Amino acid sequence: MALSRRSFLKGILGSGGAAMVGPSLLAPLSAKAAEETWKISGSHWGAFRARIAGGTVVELKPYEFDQTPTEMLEGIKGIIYSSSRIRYPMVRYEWYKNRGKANPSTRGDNRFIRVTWDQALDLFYQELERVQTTYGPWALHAGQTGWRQTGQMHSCNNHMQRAVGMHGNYIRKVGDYSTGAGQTIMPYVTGSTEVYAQGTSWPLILENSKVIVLWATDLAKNLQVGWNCETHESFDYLKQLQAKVADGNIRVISIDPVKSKTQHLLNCEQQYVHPQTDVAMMLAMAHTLYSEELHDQDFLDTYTLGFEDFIPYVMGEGEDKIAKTPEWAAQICGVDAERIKELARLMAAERTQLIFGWGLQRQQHGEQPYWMGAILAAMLGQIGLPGGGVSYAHHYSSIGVPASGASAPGAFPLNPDRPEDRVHQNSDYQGYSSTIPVARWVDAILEPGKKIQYNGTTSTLPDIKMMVFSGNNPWHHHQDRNRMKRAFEKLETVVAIDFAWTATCRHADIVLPACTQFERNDIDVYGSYCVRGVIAMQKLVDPLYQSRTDFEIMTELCRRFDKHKQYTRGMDEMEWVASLYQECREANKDRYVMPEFKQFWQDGIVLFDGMNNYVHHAAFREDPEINPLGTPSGFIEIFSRKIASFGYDDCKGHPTWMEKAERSHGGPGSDKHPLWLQSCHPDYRLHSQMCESKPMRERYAVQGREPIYMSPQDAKQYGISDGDLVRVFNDRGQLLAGAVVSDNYPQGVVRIHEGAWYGPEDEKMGALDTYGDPNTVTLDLGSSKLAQATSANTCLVSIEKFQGTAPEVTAFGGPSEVAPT
Amino acid sequence: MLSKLKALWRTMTRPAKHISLGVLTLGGFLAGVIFWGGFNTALEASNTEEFCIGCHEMRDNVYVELQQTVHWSNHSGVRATCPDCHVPHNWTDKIARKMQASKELWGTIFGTIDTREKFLAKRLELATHEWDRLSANGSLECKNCHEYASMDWDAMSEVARTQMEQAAERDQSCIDCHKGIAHELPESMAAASGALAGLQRQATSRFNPGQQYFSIRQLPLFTDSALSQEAGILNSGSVITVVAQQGDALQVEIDGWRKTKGFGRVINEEFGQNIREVTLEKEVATDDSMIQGFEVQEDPLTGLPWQRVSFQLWMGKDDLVDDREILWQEASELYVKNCSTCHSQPEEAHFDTNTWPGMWAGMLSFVNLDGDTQELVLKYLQKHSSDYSDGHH
Amino acid sequence: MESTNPQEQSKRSEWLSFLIICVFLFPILSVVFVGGYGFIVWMLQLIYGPPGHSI
Repeated sequence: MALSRRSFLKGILGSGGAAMVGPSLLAPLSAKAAEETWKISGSHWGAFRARIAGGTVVELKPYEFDQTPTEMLEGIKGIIYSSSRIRYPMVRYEWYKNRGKANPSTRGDNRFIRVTWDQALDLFYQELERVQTTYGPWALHAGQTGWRQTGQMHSCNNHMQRAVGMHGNYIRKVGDYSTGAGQTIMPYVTGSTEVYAQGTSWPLILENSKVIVLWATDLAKNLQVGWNCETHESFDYLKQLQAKVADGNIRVISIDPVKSKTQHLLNCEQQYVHPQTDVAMMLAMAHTLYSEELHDQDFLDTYTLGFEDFIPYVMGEGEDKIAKTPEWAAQICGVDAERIKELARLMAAERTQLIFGWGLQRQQHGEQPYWMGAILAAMLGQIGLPGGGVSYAHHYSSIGVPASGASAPGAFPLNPDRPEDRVHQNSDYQGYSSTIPVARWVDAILEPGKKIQYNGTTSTLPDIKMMVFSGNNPWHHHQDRNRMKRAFEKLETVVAIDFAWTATCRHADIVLPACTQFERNDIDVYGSYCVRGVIAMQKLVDPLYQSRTDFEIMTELCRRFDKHKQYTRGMDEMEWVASLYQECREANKDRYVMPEFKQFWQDGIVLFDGMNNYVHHAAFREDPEINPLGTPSGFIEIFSRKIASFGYDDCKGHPTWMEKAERSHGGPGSDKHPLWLQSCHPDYRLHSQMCESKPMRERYAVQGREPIYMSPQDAKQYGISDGDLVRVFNDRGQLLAGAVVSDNYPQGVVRIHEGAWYGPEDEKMGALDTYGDPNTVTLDLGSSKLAQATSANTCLVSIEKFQGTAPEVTAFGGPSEVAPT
Repeated sequence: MLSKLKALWRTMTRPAKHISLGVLTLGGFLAGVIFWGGFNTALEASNTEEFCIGCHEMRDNVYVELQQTVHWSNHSGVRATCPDCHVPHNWTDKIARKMQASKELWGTIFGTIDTREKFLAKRLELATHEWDRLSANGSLECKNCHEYASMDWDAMSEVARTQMEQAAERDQSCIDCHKGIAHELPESMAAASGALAGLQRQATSRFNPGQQYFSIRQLPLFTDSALSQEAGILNSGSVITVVAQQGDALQVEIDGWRKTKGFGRVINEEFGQNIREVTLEKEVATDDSMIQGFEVQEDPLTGLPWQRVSFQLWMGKDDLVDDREILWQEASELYVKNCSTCHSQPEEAHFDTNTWPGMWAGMLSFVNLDGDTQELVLKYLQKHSSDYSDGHH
Repeated sequence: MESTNPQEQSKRSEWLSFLIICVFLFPILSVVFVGGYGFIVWMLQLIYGPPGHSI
């Protein structure tokens, strides 16, 4: 065929063009494949290095300094890329359609429409305006706090409360869910909150203690996570302790109904005790110490107040005329009387370190075991000695690890710079309390105006109309889901800011997508209490979907009432991070040399090598006059006149044994629901964080549900085999969980870790929870009139093997998106 | 010679015979102008930076330090030279200063500060001269360029604006807060750490007997006016009444209450309230001739007996302010700034006086405050606790 | 030469006086007075403290 010149030229041009374009199409792909970086960052689970390739986080490996990284690091990718990521600003469909007249019972139906950022923020602002002008500051509750993500600059709660605080006043809270009872009682007893205080350093404990009593505390489980970036140095000391136990140097006794992770790690002794009966056991130990004159009278005379007002109660000369003998206690706590005496004698004979966990005070009358624990320690007379005395927090965020003495970086300010510039100056709470106990907000919604006793004062619960939650998941940490449903039906507006679609988002009206900490730059202290260093949190990838940093979200909110300049102080993200670093550098200039910010950011971390040992209460012991405790008298108050003056029947002038509202093993309600449900901190999560991470969940979920751990005896009794689906229920609610039968558990005790995401079958009251959230069935009751704290561990349930087709798990995967009509 | 002088004298003291009035006056006028010009040129030549740094003492020390500051180089390129700040602009004061410069001449000749070490040793003294001068005239030299009336508040950062507006209201002397703005501060200024250094700069220097004063930080107390026998420590934010002054030492009276259990070393401000005022040495606390005791009362809160006491001791005159509000203002800002890391901090009136120490102790691990500052903030909290406020909470 | 007649002499004397007064005496005296004034002010400042607000 003859080829015309024209077609020849066309052909040449065509193929030439293709030849030129072709490679350029391939070029970006190969460039991306080659584009790979390593970044450093930190998290609640520890520090790590991450490999990013093609704009995706591909690999995470623990930071080299960390000798005992937690396997939860492997769940982080599952947080970033989970199906529960909030992609867009969402508004509840019913609320959006019928503002002000929305059908309240539809809350929880999980039907939302997508809106733009502007629309969402406008709605948020309008609601703040409406509530402040129509009602007043008493109707807005923006005071709740949560465990947030790590990072001092982007600390989400600080951002939300600063922004909302620049608009107007709001209801705040006092206390927290972790230690509500403990932090309220201990200032009366030893003069500090104790639960967040530095404790005696591990090296000193290892060197001096002969007996360590782990009372309801699982160090190995809880030290995996930290409030800031966790160093896991505590595990070095646990390993050393393991060796000392092995060669008989130190006796460790875990007083716990359950064989804990720590017990297995240390291979130490266990002392079983009936759930919720610890105070009875401790009273009996005090009785033994006193009657056998093993107590340290000199110590009591010099350092304490009120022993003579307390001991009659123990010896049977008190109001109730009951002697708290070991025989008496044995009936209640299930520990043999001889064994109680043996333990008391052992502790008196040796240098004994008492360590309590927080789960113990997360029950009704949670103030009592902590108070009684301090009295036991006082009677032993070893408070203030290295390796002696009492601690309430050695399981938390590297407490007990010798600290460097360096200063940690500060945080983005929570408070407005100029409160006098608030848009709404109104601070008239109309007789309601402006601050309420943290766990009584549901009571407030259900019974506004109700007056409750709290810590010596009267709290008038406000008539809350609107709530704002930032990085905070009350539909995880609060008790009694169905009661919460009733309360939420009364709320007019709920705003939730989060990065994952938690049950709180499901029950909210306006949901704003924040990004994860891995999608922004930040700075953190490495080791909350030991301040081992300062770590750069380098952004791994850009915010996914339409998510934004809390900083951006709140700046835009503030723009709507013209306060964005004051909010940001004219600085952007990196300027803030650099300024926090610089202030930290200034504060440390006489102790540690820190590089300039640019160098620091490049290096990724600066470490401080100081290791300073500390003995808790040593200064007080040395000179109680010059270094008094923060109690009213300055001494350890065994009897507290102040508390006695309150006249509370559930928290008297000294610790007392009081029966619980419901208690297993022969206690009230055990005939109806025989099993004690323990909902302690999880092993594979940080509370509810990481539940949505599928790769992590797959390690422990049973048939896709949260595990319920039970004894072989109970399993047999209820015809349940390992791996079965179990319906857990009581008068308050019902849930599905997957059975794990284990002889770590005694008869009558079942465990479901808190933080399991709530996924009700539908929005109806009493709906079955499909995933296994223990708070579906827990009791929403204040610990006592003193602390009004959460009583999650006062909970009885029944179980049965689930029959029929199990409903799908609805807890994950985000909302059902509805198209706007 | 003498006759020549006599002749000259005669000529000078009689009316001119040959030179006309116009010539004489014009000539005198011109000579005067030339002279005055020359005089001022010479005077102004001594008012230039080049002249000042002609002496190596200035060139190698303060001149180098100036170059690190914003008065040397900044975004607008407007800078200050030595005379702008250090030579009074007012003519009389300028001339007086020039005469005073004979001291500098002396220094140059006799090498008073001709080495770095000598300079550093005298830095505080030299700096104090300038601070006193600027304090007295309300920082006039600063205000020659920096006018409060011309400040653009909106262009400032929030922190700056808050401070500056307050200062403007009082037409405050700039040097009160801005010491160290052009040259390095004396080392001893770091005696109080960052937070309290600002308070130190507002310390009183004049004392009136019978008036109350308040400590910025922990200060030593002595039994003697020579300040040699230690008697104890006055805590931060405490109240004293000046009785007399002897040179640099003040005789002060302290009133308070103490628990009778123990040695009675801790003196508290009010009955039944653990607001620590003074911590005495054992010998002083147990010496009845030194401590006057009054009535004893039982504290219903604890059942412990307390006694009212009064005593007089001696102390140095530094680090005292005459208005407790100055301390409370600073403490309040420190509280808000440092305590909002994890949660919104409780209102001051949320706890009562004796509960605050316990709360405070539990939170100290999280803040970067030194001992003196901690004490001051705790006292602020206690004195604004629910016992001292009547607001509904 | 006979240039020192009384007229010439007194005229020269006058001019000389004029020059001395204008160029030396008064300038020096000015410096002395101004300096003296400054010195007195300085001494007064030592007694009564540095100058206050002059506005």
